[in-house]
Amino acid sequence: MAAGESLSRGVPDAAIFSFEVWRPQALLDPLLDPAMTERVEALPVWPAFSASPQFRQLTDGVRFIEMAIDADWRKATRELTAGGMLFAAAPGERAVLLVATENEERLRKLHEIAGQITRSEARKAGREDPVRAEEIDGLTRWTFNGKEAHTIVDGRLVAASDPATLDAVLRTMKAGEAGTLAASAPYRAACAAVGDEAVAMAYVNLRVLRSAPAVAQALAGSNENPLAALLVAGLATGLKQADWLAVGFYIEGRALVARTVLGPGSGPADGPASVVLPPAGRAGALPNFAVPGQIAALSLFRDLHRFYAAKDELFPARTSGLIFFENMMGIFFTGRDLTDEVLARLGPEIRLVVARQDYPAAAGAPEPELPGFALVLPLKDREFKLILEEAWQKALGLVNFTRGQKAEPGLILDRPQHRGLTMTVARFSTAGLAPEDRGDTRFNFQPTLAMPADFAILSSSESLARKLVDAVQAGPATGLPLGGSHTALQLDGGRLAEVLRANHEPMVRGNMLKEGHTRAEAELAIDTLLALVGQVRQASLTLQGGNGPSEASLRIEFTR
Amino acid sequence: MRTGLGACALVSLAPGVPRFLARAGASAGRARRDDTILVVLQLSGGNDGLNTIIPFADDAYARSRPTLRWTGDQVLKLTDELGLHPRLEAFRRLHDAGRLAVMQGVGCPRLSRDHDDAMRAWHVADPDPDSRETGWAGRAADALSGLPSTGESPALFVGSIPRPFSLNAARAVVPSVEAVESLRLPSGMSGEASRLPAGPERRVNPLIEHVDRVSAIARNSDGLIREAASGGGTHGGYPDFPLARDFRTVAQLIRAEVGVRIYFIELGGGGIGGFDNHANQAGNHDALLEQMATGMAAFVQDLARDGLLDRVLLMTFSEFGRTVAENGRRGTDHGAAAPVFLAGGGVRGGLHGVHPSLTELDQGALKHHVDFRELYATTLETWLGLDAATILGDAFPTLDLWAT
Amino acid sequence: MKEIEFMQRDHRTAPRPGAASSRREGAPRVVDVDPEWAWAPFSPGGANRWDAAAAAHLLRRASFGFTATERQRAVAEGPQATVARLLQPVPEAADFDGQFDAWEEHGAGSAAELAAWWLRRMLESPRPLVERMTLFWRECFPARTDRVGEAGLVVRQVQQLRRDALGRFDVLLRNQLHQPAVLLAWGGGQNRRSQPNHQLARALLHGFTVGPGVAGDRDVTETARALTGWFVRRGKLQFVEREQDPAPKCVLEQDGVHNLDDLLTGLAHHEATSRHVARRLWRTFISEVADPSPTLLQALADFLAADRDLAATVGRVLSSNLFHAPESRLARAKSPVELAVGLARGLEGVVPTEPLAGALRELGQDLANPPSLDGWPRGTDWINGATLALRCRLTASLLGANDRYKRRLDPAAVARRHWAVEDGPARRFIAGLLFPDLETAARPEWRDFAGDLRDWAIHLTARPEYQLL
Repeated sequence: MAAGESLSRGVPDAAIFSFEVWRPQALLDPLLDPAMTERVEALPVWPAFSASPQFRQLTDGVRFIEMAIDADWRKATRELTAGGMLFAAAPGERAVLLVATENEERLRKLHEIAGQITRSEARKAGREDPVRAEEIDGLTRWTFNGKEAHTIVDGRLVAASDPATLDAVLRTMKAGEAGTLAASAPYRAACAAVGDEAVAMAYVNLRVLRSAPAVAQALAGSNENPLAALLVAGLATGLKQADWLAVGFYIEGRALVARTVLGPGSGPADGPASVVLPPAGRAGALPNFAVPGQIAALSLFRDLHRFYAAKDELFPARTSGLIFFENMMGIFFTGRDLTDEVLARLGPEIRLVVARQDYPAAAGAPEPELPGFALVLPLKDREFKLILEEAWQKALGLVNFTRGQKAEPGLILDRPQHRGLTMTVARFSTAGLAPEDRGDTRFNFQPTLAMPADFAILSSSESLARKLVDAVQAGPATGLPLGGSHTALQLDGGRLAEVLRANHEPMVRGNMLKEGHTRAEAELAIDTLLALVGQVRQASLTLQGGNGPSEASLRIEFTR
Repeated sequence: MRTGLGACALVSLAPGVPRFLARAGASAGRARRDDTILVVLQLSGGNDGLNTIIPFADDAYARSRPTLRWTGDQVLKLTDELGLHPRLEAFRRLHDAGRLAVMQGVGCPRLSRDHDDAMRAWHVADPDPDSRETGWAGRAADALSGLPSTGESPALFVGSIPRPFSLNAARAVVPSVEAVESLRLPSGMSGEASRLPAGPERRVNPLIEHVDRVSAIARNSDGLIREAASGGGTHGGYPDFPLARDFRTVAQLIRAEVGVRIYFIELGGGGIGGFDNHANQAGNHDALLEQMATGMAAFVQDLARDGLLDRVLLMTFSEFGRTVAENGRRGTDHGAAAPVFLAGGGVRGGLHGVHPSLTELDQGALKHHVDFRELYATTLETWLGLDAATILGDAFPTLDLWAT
Repeated sequence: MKEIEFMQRDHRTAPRPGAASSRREGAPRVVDVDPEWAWAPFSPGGANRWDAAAAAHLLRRASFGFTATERQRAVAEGPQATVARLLQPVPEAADFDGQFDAWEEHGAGSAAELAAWWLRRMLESPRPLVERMTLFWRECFPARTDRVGEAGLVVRQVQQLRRDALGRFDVLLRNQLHQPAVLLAWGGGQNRRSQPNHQLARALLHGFTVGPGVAGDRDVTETARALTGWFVRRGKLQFVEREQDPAPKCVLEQDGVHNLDDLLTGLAHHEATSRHVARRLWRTFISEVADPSPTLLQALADFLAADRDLAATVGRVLSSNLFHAPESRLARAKSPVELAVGLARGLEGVVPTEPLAGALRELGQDLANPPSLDGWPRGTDWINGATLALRCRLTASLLGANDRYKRRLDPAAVARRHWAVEDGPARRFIAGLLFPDLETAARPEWRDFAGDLRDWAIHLTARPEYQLL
C-alpha cells in the first residue's frame, strides 16, 4: 500500500476515478509465468494469430526494443513497473498515468526509443515531426502528438492528457499532502475498506459522478423490469446513494478476487431493495447446494411476499407477462390471493441449482442439450404442501391440454418414491417415437415436484430433483454461514464448458447467422469461448447489503 | 417551423368546422396538409367495458360484481346511471371539454371468445377471419397508396410489439417504428441529393420519377422530424410510460407532416394482453385504464395546442368486453360487447348509443348494439374519404358521430 | 382484364424493334413490339452494346447482384454464354445445398431462422439464379408460416421449390400440392368428402395456376372436390381413400377429372396457366412499369407451354432482345431482399443474416410470411417516404455506419482486392460496382468527395436510383 499512497499523493483530488496497482509483482507473476504463455498458445485462435503479419510485426518490434534496452521483455516489464502504477481521470477528459520504476536509466532509454519510433512513423506518413521537448524548471517535458504531455522525474513516468493537467500533477507532487487524492476523505476510506492485502484498487467518487446528467438518467431508469429489479435489488440503490465505490483486487493462490465496497452515504435501501432484502443484522441467504454434476448454484434472500405486496408502487406499468402470470396463478391456486395466501407461506431463502441431467435413452440427447434447473423454496407450513401439489398438477394438466390442442405430444404423470418420499414426475413418452423426433427439445424437460422436509423442489429434471432430495435430507436444513449475504452465486467452469461443448453444433450455427461468420470462423469463435470458460475452475459472487457498506465479492479460480 | 405550407393550409379553415365537411368532394389534387389522420389504439386482452363505463345504479351490476364493483360514490358520474372508472379522471376532463365520445355496446355477430380469433375478427373486419389475408387498416393503406401516388407512407405502427395483423396489406408496406429517429435518414444523407444529369432512362421511366419524388419527400421529412423531435414545437405534458411515449411519437410525426394517414398504437403489451384480467383484476385494470386516459388526454391536448386536433381522429378498440359476472378469482372472463372511445376529429362529445342491458345477456356477456364494421365504415368513408364498401367487402351504414 | 383497358388507350400495331410505347399519365405503358424480335436472342454489335452496364443489368436481375469479377467474366463471355452458365448445374451446388438443408432442418424451426438461412444461401450460393428462381416461386406459392403453424414445414416447402426451380413446371406444381405447408396455409389440412375445401381450391386456381379471372365458382367447387382425400396429420401428408369424392369432376371445361393427379395435369397444361406464369416472369425479369401486349405475352407463354421447361423459358427471357432493350433497364424497384443481398454480394461479404431478416420484414418482405396470394408488393409500392428512410438506414448499416451488421462489408478492402488503391480509382471502382449505368455521369464527384470509402458507398446507395433494379 505504501507505493500506492505515494503515487496518489501526486494526483489532485479533482480525480473521480483511479485505478492503481500497488503490488505489480503479485499481478505480473502469474501473467508473465511461462505457464501462462503455454495457456495462451493453447487457445484455438493462437495458430492463426501467431501466423498473422500483425503478430510478426509485434514480435519484431519487441525483439528490437529488447535489444535496444538490453533486457528481455519480461524482465523489463517487471523492472519498469516495480514501484506501482496509477491511472486517474477527472471530469473534462483529463487523465494522468503515473508509473514508478526501479530502473530510471532503462525507463529513459525506452522513452527515447518510443520517441524515435514516433518520429519515423510520422516521416513515413509524410507528416512533420510531432515530438517536442521543452525545458521548464529544470525538467524536460515531452509531447509525442502535440496534445498529451509527459515527463520523467524521480524515477517516475508522469504522463497527462494535456500540459495543464501535467502542471497540476507536478505541482501537487511538490506541494505534498494538501489537495491530493491521497488526502481526500472518501479515497482514504476506500483504501481502508480495501485493506492492505489488496494488490490493486479501482476507486470511483460516486457523489461527483452522479452529478453528470447522463449517469443520473441511467440510474433513474433502472427500475423498469420487475424481475431484474428483484435479482439485482440493492445494487441500484447503492449506486444511487453511496459516496464512493472501491474495488480491491487480491491474489489468493490460483484465484483472483475482486471485492467491491460501496462507501457510506447509502442509508436504508429504497425501492425494491427495501422490501426484499434481509433486515439489518438478521438472517441471510442459505449456503448453496453442492450436488453431483452441479454447474451453477444461486442462493438468494428475497422476501417475495413483501415484494409482491408492494408491486403497485414498485412497478406501475402492467406488462402482459405480469397479467398472464396472475391469471395462471389464480387458476393454479384456486383463486387464493397470490400475495397473502400463497407467497406469504414461502420463506425468503430461495435457492436455484443448475446441473447436468440424464435423458431417457430411447429419446436420444436433445438438441440443444439443456441442463436441469431446479428451484428450492422453503415452506413455512406443511399444510401448504397439498396446495402446492394441487397447483403443480393443474399446471401440468394445462400444459398437456394446450400441447394437445396444437397436436403436440403430452406428458405422462408418475408418482415414484425416492427415499420414502413421493415425488410427482411428468415425462414425455417415448412410445412410438418417430426417428426424426429423437433428440427433440422436449426431452430436456421432465417437470418434477418433490417436497422433502420443509422445502419444495420444483425441477425441470427428475434426476436433479432426486439429487436435491438427497442433499436436503442429508445436510442441515438451515444455517447462516454466509454472514448476512443476500446473494451467492457459484459456477463451475469445467462443467459449464462441458454443457457448452455438448451444444457446440447449435452454437456454431447460431454464430453464423448472428455474426455473419463462415463456418470455420464460427467454429473458431465458439472453440475460443469454450477454451476460455474451461480456464475457470470455480467462480463465485456474493453480495451483501444492510445498513453498513454494501459489498460484492467476485472470486475466480483458474485451473492449474 | 410550419410557416410554409402547413400553416397556410391550417389557418384556411375556421376553428370548429368539422374537417370532413370542409373536405367534401375530397380529391387527390388539393393541398395535402388538410388530410385527415386516423389514430387507432388497440387495448390488448379484452377490456372490461363494464368497469370502464360503469352502470353504478344498476342492481344487476352490483350483484354481478361482489368484489370488483364501484359504487356511485366512487365513480366519476357522467349521468345518473353511468359513471367513469375512478382512475379515469383524465377522461372526465376530456369529456367535460366535449372532446371525448363514447360509443356504447360495440361488437359484432358471432364474435369469438378466443383472444386470437376475436382479435383477428376486429383486425380483418370480419367475424369469420380465416377468409381474409389482410387487415382492414392494411386494406385502407392499400387504397391510400393506390391513389395517384404521393410517395408518402399511408400507414404506420408505432410501438415495440409485433405489428398487429390489422395492418397487413396486400401491396402497401406498413413499417413499425419505436421512435421518430427510425424514420430519419442516416447521418450524412440528409443533405441535398446531388442530381445526376438526366439520361435517356430518366425521361421515360416512371419509377425514376417516383424514387426522385420520394427521395425529396424523405429528405424534407428528415428535417421536419428533426425539428419536431428536438422540441421545436414539441410540448411536454406526457406522462412517463410506454403508451404515452408512443402517443408522443405519433404527435411528433403528425407535426412533422410525414403524410401518414393511419397510425396504429397499442396498450397491453401484445401477446395475451394486459387487459385479460382473469384474476386480481382490480389493481391491474385500474393501472391500465389510467395509462390509457392520461396518455390519450396528453395527446389530445398536445394536438389541440397546435390546432391539429381537428385533423386527427382517435379511436380505441379491444377484442372483446368481459363477462358481466366476476369469476371466483376476483377477475372476469372473456365477454362480448364493450365501449369504444373516440376523440378529436370534430366528434360530438358525450355518450353515443345506449348501454347494453345487464340482464339480457349472450352467454353471460353484453350484447352489442353497434357492429364494429359500422364504426370502421364511418372512419373509412366519412373520415378518411375512402370507399368503405370495397375495403370492408360489404356496405355498412355509417354512424353520425360528428358535432355539427 | 387490365391490359385490354390499357390497349384501348394506348394501342400500337407497328412493330418497332427496341421501342416501347410512350407513357400516358396514370396507366402502365404497354409494350407492343414484334414478338419474334422481342424474344429472339440478343446479339451484341452495332447499337446493341455488350458492356459492363449491360452485363450488370443481366446479373442484377438474374443473380441478386454481382462481384466485380463476375461482371468481368460476363463481359468477356458475352450474353448468351453467361446466361447458359447461370442456368447450368455446378458440381459444388449439391454439397452446398445438402449442407444448408441439414442446417435448416436442425434449427429451432422458427420463422426468423428460416429467413436467416435462406438469406445466407442467397449470399453464398454457387447457383444464384436458382436462389433467384426459388424466391420467384415462393411468391407464386406464398404459404404463410403463421398460417401453417410450423416453420419446419415451410422450410421443406422452400427446399422443394429450390429443387424444382429450374425443372419442369408440372413437376414443380405437383410437388407443391404434396407439401404439407401448402395445404395447411390455405386451410387444407383436412379435405373431407363432406366438406370440400374452397379456400385451397381458390388458391390453386387463382394463384398457383390459371390466375385471377379465369375460373368460375363452379370450377372452384369442382376443384375442391378433386382435392378431397388429402390430409395433413402431425405434419405429414396422408391420403385417406374413403374421404375421396370418387365422382368425376369437370374443371375449366375439362371432364373426367378423378383425382388430384388428373386435376394438376390439366391445370399445368392449361394455356391460362402458361400465361399467368409468363406474366409473373415478365414482372420479375423485364419490367414493372410496362405491361406486355397480349401477343408478346402469348409468345412467352407458348415457350413455356411447349414442354414446361423452366430453365429453357427463363434462359429465353434473360437472353432476349427485349430483356436487353434500354427500356428494361432500371424498370423494376428493388425488393428489400434484392436491395440488401445485392449490396452484400457486390461487396463480397457475408453479413449477419438474422438481424437482416428482421430489417427486411420491417421493410415489407418477410420471407416467412408473404402478405397475400399475389406474393410481395412490387414497383412503387415498395418505396414511400417512410420505407425509403428505412432502406437508406439499412444500406448505411450494412456498409458499417454502425455495428449492427458487424461491419462485414468493407468497400476499401474490396477495392484493394481489385487493384484500386488510391482514393480516386477506389471511388471510381465502387461507383462502377454500385452504379454501373451511371459510372461516367458520376465522374465529377469522385474527385472531390470528402470522406472515406465507406462514406462514399453510403453516399452512392442513398441516391434515389439505387432503389431500382
